[in-house]
Amino acid sequence: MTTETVGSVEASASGPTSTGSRATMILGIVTLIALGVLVLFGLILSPADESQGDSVRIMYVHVPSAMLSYAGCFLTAIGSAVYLWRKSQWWELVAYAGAEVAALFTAFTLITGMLWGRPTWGVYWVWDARLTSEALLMLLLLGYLAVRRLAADYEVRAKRAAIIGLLLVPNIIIVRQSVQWWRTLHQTPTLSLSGAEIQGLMLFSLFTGFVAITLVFIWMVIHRFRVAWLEEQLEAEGLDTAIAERRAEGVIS
Amino acid sequence: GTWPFVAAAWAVVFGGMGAYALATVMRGRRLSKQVPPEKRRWS
Repeated sequence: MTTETVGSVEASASGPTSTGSRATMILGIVTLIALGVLVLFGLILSPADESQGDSVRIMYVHVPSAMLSYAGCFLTAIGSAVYLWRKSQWWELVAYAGAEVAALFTAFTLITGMLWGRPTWGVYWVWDARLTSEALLMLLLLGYLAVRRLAADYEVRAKRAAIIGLLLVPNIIIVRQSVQWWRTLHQTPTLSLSGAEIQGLMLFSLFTGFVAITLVFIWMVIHRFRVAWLEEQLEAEGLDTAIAERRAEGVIS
Repeated sequence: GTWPFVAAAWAVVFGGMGAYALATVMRGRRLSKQVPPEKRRWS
């Protein structure tokens, strides 16, 4: 098969041969550079905290992971709402891609939080409002993904998953506000509209974490969307072939 | 000190991101070979 570059997409005769494109390749290179800068500032250049010591360095991956898990949930909720309103497969696949990446970042949030909690609180896990609501968010995302992969017609599983997708928004609000509404072992936000609890290189390292992990998130959602698109095309192709074979056999007219 | 926890947390995030990215790209390459060219346009 001959391969040539058409526009920004590496293509065979008339279609891309992978989920990559020139744009995602450039995005990938920029992302890798940003991750390198994050390692430099997060693990080497930024100082240890006066009270927490070096464990504060977990913040530079924990907080951005949490923020991006919320972003993925919002993307899923928006995609789900548009799908239910307009029956747009494009938006439904955006919601699906967002949910899978959000589940990944929610898992990162829970695991890094536990690893931060052990040296800071003395325990890996407590059932306080923040940790419990975050665990429920993870379960909701896994529920969405399970329903989305049911062995049923596309419209049936997409509609059911979209309804679960809408439920992510109130859950995120509860997760975000839990440290304000209830007394929790988890601290109140490090960054808020009223200002930051950290300064200098620590604040810059956290900012670097936001930039780098946001770039990773965008790259992942683009690729996962394209994979989902290909999966649906393959399924539709299989259905068309099955119908054509049945027609050839004279089973259906 | 706390470095083992820091190293573990960063390894989870970087390792998880790398593994997911690689798995997604490989899946995309495999699917691209199965889907007819005219149906591979996703935009």
